[in-house]
Amino acid sequence: MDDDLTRGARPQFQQRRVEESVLLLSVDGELDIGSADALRAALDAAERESDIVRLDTQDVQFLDSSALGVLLASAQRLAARGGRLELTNVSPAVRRILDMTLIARTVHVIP
Amino acid sequence: MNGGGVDLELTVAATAENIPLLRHAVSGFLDGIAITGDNASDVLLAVTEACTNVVQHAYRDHEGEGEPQIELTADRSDEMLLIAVRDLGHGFAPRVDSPGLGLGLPVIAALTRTVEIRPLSPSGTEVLMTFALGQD
Repeated sequence: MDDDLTRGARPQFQQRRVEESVLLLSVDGELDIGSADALRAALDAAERESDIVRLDTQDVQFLDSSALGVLLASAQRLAARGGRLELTNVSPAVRRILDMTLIARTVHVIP
Repeated sequence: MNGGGVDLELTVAATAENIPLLRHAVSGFLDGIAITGDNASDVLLAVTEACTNVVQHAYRDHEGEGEPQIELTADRSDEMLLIAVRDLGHGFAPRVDSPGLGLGLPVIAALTRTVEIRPLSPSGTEVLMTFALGQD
């Protein structure tokens, strides 16, 4: 596969604790069905560390409904134990699909 | 539909790993015909959703009769972009164990000017999407 065509397709994840109860998970890349398993694994790991997971999407260049499904599942797991999934640094492209699908009612978007 | 003779034709294996490949190829095509910004973002999201439907639904329980594939074509006229995504499986056959949220088609409908889903003979489904190319 051409590297130029797949550049940015494999997201990179970094997590760090920013508050006692908040784990920040930064994502760099594109989130779709091709990277849904990687996103799911990163969120699973973050959920094991904290009840509040804050996803920094500043460097997310693309997000589709497959990735939204993964986010929604994580948000529901966290909510079931009193936690929450937050999205921060939401780009216009990400914001658009959030609004389109009304998922912002389930995931906490930090302006 | 093709008023300017600008075309894109792609056929790839229907795998999740190939979805970004298709999207990036379409992105390059759009860039080459000066479709950018929100217009390009809408097209790329709709194309991704349509191709994801092929991967998730079209070839489930597929047995033999060739490698599962996604075919994509794009044609641009003066003020319209037509993109077709085709499979040779069984298209949008519903499944109760769907791994997705079922948002693919609603998202496509929200992003396109028109969307048409039609069966192919002897098997397969074609999703025809048109996009109005207004100002960003």
